[in-house]
Amino acid sequence: MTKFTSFSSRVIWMQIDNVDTDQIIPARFLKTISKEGLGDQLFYDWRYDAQGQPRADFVLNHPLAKGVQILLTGDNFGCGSSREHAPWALTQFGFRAVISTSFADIFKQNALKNSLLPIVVSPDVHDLLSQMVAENPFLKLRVDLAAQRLMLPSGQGIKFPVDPFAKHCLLEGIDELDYVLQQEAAIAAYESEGGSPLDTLGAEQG
Amino acid sequence: MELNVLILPGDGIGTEVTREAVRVLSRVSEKFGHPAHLTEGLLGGVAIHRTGTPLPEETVKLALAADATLMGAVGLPEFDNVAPEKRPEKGLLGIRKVLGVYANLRPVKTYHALIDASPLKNHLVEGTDMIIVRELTGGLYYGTPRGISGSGEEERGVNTMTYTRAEIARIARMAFHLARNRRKKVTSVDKSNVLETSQLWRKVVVEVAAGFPDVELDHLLVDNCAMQLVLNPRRFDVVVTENMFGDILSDEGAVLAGSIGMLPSASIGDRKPSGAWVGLYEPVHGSAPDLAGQNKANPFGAIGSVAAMLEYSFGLKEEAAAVNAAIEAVLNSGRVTADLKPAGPPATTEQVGRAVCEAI
Amino acid sequence: MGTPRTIIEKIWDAHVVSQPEGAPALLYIDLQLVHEVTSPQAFDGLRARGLKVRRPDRTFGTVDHSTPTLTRLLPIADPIAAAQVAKLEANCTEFGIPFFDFQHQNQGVVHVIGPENGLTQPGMTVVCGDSHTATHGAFGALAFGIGTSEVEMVLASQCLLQRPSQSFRVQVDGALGAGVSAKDVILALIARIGIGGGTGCVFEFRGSAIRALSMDERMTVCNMSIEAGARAGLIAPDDVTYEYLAGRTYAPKGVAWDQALARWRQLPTDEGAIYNREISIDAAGLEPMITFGTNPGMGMPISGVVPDPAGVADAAERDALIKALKYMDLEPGKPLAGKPINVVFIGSCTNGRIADLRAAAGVLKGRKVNPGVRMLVVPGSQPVKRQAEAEGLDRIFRDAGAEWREAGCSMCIAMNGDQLQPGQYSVSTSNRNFEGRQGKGGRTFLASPLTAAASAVAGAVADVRTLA
Repeated sequence: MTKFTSFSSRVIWMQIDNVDTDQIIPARFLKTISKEGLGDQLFYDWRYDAQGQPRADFVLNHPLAKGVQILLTGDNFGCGSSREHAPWALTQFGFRAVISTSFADIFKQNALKNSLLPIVVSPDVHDLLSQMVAENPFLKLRVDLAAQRLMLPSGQGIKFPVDPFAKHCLLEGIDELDYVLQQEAAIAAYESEGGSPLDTLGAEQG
Repeated sequence: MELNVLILPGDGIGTEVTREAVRVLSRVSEKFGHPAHLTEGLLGGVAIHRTGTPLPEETVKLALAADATLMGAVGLPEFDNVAPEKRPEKGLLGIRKVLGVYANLRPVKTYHALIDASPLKNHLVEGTDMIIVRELTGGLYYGTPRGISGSGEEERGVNTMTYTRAEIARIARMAFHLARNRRKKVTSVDKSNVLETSQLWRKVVVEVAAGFPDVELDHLLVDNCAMQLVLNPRRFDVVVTENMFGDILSDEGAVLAGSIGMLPSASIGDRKPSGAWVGLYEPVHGSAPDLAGQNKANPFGAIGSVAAMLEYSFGLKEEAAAVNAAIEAVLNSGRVTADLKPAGPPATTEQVGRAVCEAI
Repeated sequence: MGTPRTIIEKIWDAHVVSQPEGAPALLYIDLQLVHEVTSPQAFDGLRARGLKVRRPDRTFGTVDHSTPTLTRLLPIADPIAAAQVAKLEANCTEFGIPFFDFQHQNQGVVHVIGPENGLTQPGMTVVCGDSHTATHGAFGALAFGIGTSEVEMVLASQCLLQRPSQSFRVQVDGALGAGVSAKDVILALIARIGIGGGTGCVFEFRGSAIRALSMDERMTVCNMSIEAGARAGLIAPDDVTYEYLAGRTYAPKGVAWDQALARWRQLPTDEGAIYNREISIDAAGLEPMITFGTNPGMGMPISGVVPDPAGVADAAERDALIKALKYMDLEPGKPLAGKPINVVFIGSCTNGRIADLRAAAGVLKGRKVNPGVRMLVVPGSQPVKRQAEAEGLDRIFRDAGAEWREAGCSMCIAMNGDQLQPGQYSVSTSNRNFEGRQGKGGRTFLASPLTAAASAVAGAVADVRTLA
């Protein structure tokens, strides 16, 4: 995994709360057995009309949206289905960070595993950022994961929380499965001691 | 469930047997509460007469819109000496290609009441129950280059037998899938001792078989299969083979059953965007122009096609079983058409159709 | 015995393999269920690393999301779906994982087949690449949905990195009125706390109304925990649970059964244990529920009227409601009862079990589905289908004019061709009413099997309690 480095980017502002993963990537695109091509299918049913043409009024189709790496969106982003195709589609489109007042649990876990940084801000900060982006679509924010800061052009930094372990893995480019596989001794010990004292599935039959 | 079905009666006895098939379909619709939305279209000789082409655009549109198509038969004697592209049969090949129905399923089953009508000795043929799965949109009937060129002594006819791996794999998968719901045995038929196409066929079938470890697979060369169908028809469960091989073998299988008029067939394809199968259902027999217009033709093949349609295209197993049971009941009653050599006076096409309706 | 613990804490504590300072716990997973949609990339990852599945004996597969329900006589027509299903079957075969293939006699929806086969047992940790894994919490298991990367992690190590969630006690007491069922309980909870109300939490459902539910009904309640934002939802095991489990294929037998019982009986939450959050619901005060909007929290009693955005103070909420009503083409202030509908779907991991089919059949017996309605009844598994047929339920559905289908997720997620046309309204016993969930442009009203069946008869959203 590549290390997560600081970056600056303009912001796409999707002013909708409770964006669910069925909107981020509709179910009919989940029949793929690979991860390819999901970037084009991101937000498909909001992004394209019935003839497959881009809708002019959807934020992702705005000419300024190209190359943008930060998505500012409403509360409870990524609720609904656990499909990891959602962060895959977002990162393939080009996003590296999503700013919201809250994220659904499973989406948040999935995003962190795919170098898509969920940035939680307070409602006041969210309002401030929304206003700033609305007034200046060319506004650039800087994401500094090491310092856990979202830097405004003025130099002012907004602190955001990040799970320390997730942060460490992102910054060092540590693959979580590699980390877990290194715990082999502990896992083997747990199993040889009989596993969970509550485990009745492996109980002898009869 | 809504039954959106296109009816293509076609030529000759096709119109008569299809009329009975529709009668039975309507009875099923009424009795089991499935609204039937039937459309009708032109195919074959009648289409050439009315529109100049054996497969009109309108028919194609209707077929693509319907959930399933019920066909009669095509072929008229006036077109016997005409080039293939201008014959009624071209309509049949055309509609199969357009709908992408690549799998032709022909059940071969003996009926106890007809056992004496089979040309084979009873003890050989009784209990025969197989499905011949014939690849329908590839192979020798569709391969290019094809045609007649040159002149004089050098005048030359060419046809090509060709298959892609993908075409073989999908028909093989169909066969194995069907076998799983039957006696779990697939016999693949080819001519791999001589033809490269057959060598590829056998190779791919073996690969597909690996995904169905609970199904038995054996291979027969087509000339041996022709013999085995006559020597030991009961050993077959599902047979899978190339287009022309299948055309010949399934007609051979058809007469074992006692009359070619008995047998239905289903042609299946995966062209529908909704994820459902496309189905074309028709009796195995041809348009029999000599018999046409006399109310003598055996409608069981066409009615059996309705049962196949209910089962494969609509998942209505109980309704399909009811139709098949009704066919068997009427067969056992002896009130059947002349081709089945009834003990008493032969029934007309219409009488048989109505009897089946009553028996449902 | 130390500090009183909730059932959630007891299960958590028993499964911690290691807990390094500052890092998430390494949690052992007793059972992983896999299906065709969220597993292919996980198996590819395993293969790429040259790894085997650590515990194939603690992994079980099925195919459900992309599988057709019209017939199993023919292979899957959609080549992409067929490839995905074939991939699951090939992956399970390659890695030695037991599974039900498309034509298997016990094939079905993953969260139906787990409990049905006795794989899900009290006190276990259970995961699956599917957010409705919460269903298994009905057995007093800690069960939650995970993404494909985590599926790969569990395949490789049988462990997950997890931080504990907060505990949220949902107390439901009293007796449910006539026509009110388990689905209405969970819909009422979500309407009350919103779709983010349980974020960061695991529910424990307690109370006399919960105790009175059958296992099928408890699964309905736990299934939709995720729709309130919670990762998981548990119901402590009791005699109802043990009776359900006894004799199932993978349930312990003989002496092992007695030993298991003894352990299970220690699971319920200790007296005095503290929950991070609590809420109480009066079961007797509940009505049949129906959703009107585009998330499961936009629900109301069947006798209610569609809310008016003008009455919503918060601007963002008001905008969301306006957007939802526009998509659903509903007028504020009007009752939903009486709204004509096009499709009724009975099925899904929420309400596709025998109890649900019995409930729907009870309403349809002697009645007909309205001619304007297409009704699909999709059993949650082949065993459920067979049992329904043995009880004559299929006859009732077919005589009424409903379609009786093979098992699968079907119209809940609309990946297999069973779907709404744009603009069509459905009353559905599934779990999500997001825009386009049941088909692009489709409009979903979520409800219980009783409400759905009544609506099928009426041809419109209907209250089962007043059905003619």
